[in-house]
Amino acid sequence: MRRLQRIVHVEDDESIRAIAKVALERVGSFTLLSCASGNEALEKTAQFAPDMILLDVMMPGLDGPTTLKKLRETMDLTEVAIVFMTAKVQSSEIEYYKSIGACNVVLKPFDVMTLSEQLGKYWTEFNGE
Amino acid sequence: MPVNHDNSQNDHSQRKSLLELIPNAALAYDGDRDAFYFNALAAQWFGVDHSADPVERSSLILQVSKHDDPHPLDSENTPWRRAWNGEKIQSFEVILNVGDQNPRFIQCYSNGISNNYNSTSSVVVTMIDISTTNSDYLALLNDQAQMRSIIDVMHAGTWQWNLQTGETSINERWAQIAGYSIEELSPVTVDTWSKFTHPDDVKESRQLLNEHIAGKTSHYSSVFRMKHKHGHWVWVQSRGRVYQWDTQGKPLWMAGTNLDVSNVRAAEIEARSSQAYMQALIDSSSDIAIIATDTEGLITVFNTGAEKLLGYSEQDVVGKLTPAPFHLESEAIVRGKELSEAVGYEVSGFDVFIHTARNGKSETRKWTYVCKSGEHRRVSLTVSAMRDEDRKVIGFLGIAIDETAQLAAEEQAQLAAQRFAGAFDSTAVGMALVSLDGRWMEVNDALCEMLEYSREELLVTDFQTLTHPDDLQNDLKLLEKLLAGEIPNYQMEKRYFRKTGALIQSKLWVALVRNRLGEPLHFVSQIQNITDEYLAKKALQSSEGRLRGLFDLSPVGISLMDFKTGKQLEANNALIAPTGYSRKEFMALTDRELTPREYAPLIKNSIEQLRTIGRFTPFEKEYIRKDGTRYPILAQGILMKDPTGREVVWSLAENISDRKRLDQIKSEFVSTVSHELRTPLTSISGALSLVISGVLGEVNEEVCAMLKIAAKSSARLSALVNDLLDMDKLLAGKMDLKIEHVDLLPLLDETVSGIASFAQSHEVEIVQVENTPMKIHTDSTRLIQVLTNLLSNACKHSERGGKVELHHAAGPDNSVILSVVDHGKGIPKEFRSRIFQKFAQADGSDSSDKKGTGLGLAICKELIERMGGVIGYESHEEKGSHFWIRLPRARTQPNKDNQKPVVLHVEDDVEFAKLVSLQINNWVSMDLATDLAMANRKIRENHYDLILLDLFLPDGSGEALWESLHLSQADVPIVILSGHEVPRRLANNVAAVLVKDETTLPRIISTLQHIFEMGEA
Repeated sequence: MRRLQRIVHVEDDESIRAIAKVALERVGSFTLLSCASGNEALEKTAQFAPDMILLDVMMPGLDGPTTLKKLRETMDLTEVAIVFMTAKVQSSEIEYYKSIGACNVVLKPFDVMTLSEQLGKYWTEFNGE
Repeated sequence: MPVNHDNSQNDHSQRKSLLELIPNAALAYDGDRDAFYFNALAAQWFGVDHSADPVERSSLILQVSKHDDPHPLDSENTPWRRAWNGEKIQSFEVILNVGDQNPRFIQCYSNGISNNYNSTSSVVVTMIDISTTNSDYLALLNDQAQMRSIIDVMHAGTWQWNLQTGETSINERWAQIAGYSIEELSPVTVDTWSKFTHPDDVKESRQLLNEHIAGKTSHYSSVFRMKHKHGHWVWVQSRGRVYQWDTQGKPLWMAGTNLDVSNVRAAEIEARSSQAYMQALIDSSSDIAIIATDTEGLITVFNTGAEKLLGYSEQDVVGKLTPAPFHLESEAIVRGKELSEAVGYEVSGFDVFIHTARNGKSETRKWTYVCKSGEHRRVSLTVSAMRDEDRKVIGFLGIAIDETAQLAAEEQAQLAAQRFAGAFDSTAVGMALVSLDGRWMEVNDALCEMLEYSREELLVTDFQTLTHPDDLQNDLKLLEKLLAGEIPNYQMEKRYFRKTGALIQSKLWVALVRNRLGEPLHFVSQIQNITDEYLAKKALQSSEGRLRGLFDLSPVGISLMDFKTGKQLEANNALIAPTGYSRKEFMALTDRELTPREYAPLIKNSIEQLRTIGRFTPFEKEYIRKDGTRYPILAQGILMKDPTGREVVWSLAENISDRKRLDQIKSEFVSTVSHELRTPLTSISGALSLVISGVLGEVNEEVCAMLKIAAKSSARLSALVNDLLDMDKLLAGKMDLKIEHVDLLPLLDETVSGIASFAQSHEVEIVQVENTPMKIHTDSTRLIQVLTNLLSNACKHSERGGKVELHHAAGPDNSVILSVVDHGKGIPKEFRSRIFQKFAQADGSDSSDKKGTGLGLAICKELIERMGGVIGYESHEEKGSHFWIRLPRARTQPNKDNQKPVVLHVEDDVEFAKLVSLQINNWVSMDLATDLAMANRKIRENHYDLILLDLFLPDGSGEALWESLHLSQADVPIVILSGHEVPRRLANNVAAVLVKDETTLPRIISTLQHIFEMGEA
């Protein structure tokens, strides 16, 4: 199994982006691409060639699911683990996100110290182990 | 015989001096001259002058007799004569009867040798007085004397009979009794008696005589009939005894008396028969109490009537009581005083009752008898004295007649008469006799008072003057009809002027009195002042008008419906306007047609409530507008009867669209705010965590401490926000649950590992006790959330180093029970009732780190209930708490149709519970919990369709149980069955309240039946 290394984080809130960056780079030693919107993600993701895309669900303009849909139109995401980030915690929603291609959901607010660990777990699951 | 004076004188002196020398009484007897010489003592005994010697016997009033023979001794047998004749006298005892002296008993001695002095000779007899030693005998003699006088007085015949010779003597009276003279009967023999005696009586009398002679009886006493000279029979009582026996001890002489007892006998027979008659009368009169007493008051007769009246039995009282206990003491005292004052000396005790009777008058008085039972009876008691033949009082006879019933009847009659007589004067209704031309002939006080005139003033006026002109015409018309005989009486409302000119409203009733010939005499009028009612009616009309205004102007919709048909009878504008219908259209619709179908069960419930408790509790529903849109209303109503007796429902329908909208705005606001808060909070806590973790470089210790405070606070803030959002969702019904079959063990593992670090920070160990695999029907995420909440609470409230246990076990009805048990301080009592409420937290003395959001348990409860489960707790202060959750293992609804409803009766009075159970266990399956702890355990382990709850239980108030049930199992009806007053808060929130002391068991049954029927519907 490939090691989880490169992660794209799409989040409209600047402070969350900054926190996540520290959490994932400093705590998890991942390589992170932070995007402030869906559009920015559409521009930069393909080029970054991520192992995982961490998508905030609620964003002005393109929201998480739409961004994912558009990304899928521009690139092959079969090898990329898609993880949504949302405050909504309804089980049915999680089902929904999984149905549109997410491998799992990170609930907001997330624990910065364990976020990397959590993503690692999802990565393992994504790779079928 | 010639006597030589000198010699004799000398001789005499000599003799005298000789006699004087004898210390005892002594005499010298000259048999030739039948003369005595006495010494001083003897002279005294014989009642002669000592100096008058010699004394000739013939000059002495002297009788000498032997003690055993009342007859005087003949002179030859006297001791002195026998001595003169040469007999030696030794201890010869005789009785001297001298003149009027008492008989003297003396002993005589003499040697029987005469002494010769010159030509004269005499014998000396000395005598000793032995009267004192023979006093008894003398007494007898005395008796004999008395006997004689008695015999004389009694007019008794006497007889004497020598048993050995048959010699018999009788006195004159003896013969008289049989109508003869003694001469006619001579010679009298023993056969004289038997000849005259009735043949039937001879045998018995003879036997009695023989018995006495044989010494078997002290007296002979016999009553027999003697044939009178005139042929009739005379009753004779004969008494006698042997008084002398011969030397061999055989009876010699017998004497006795005969009395004519014919009169006594007749009286006796008469008395006997009348006594028998009386006795029969006394015994047979069971309605009249007859009580006889002796002179001292002791009861001697107590007949059946007395037993019946007083309740005592004959044995209770005869010879034991006086009548005093039957009398009211106070009455006896009063009567005693009366009598005492009347007679001038104290009359008290038994005398009070018989004083008058004793003085020869029968007395009849009313008394109050006190029965054995304590009951009082009014009696009329006649007391008379009972007397013997000599009019001597031998007792008293009381005859009591119970007048209680009679008195009551009399009082009634008297009252009725008084009422009748006083009716005219005393009735509160004005009454008058009115002449044919309208003058007041007689008026009563009530009428005077009503019209404010005096009687005199009224009698000089007429009714026409006092009648309001507008009413007069009608009144006169009716009077005419009455006089013409067209109507028997009439009634009308009319106005009278008072003296002051004020008007009163009255109800008049008039009848006509005619004489025997049918000619009209006068009118009888009854006039009732109904001014107050009239005014009240007016006031009512005006208040009705005011209410009408309220009805019309009320902002709340109000309607009046026929309870039976559901037809709208009245509706105000506030009700009609929001519907968009015209009044006409609206009135044609029923409430049911206006309400969406899905509210049918609620409506059915409200109708049931109206039927049973006369009102229905407010509930929210919707109305459909004319355009098909809906709006929410809060409906409530009350059942009443209109004047025609028709059942109508007043209902209020408050349009709560605005309120609902506001509610929604509020909750949306909360939701939005919470969401908006969440993002910055995430950043804050994230940033702080990163800094504190040191991944961005070493942080100064002091700074780190501050940052940690900030981190902790932001964590609490985000927890609050999360809880608020959860709650919001739950309350808004937006919480979607994904309920599925889940393996319990992994879920528990995940929960425990999730909270491990938190537990560690509290130095508490979480122990998962069982490891039986189980499948559970639940939303796993939410169950983990609930368990985490419970476990974190448990950790917070545990001592450091303590243990928190997580149990799971199979429960009844295919359920799983999960429990979280801690050994902390337990839940404070005062907090228990609020524990599942929002923002509820135990007192603030806990350190701040234990504080949560106050929403945790409220959310847990909401979540568990949404998952079809039940949550509850038990807690003992200082011993820890035990929170439990019951969740279905499989969602299979028990088939209620062929199953009895299960009722838990929480009641510490086992006997009462048994009673209730006996009444309903044929259609309800009853279970009993005798205290709160048991009730909690049973509720946790079983499913109940209803809970019958007593409030005062040995380990606390049923209120706490209600709190937890009300919150955790709101759909289980609770019926409070308590002997105490039930707090309103409770009463309003349970299915029914039954108060024990008023409650008959049938009411429990009907209430439960009703609840279950409603449940099925």
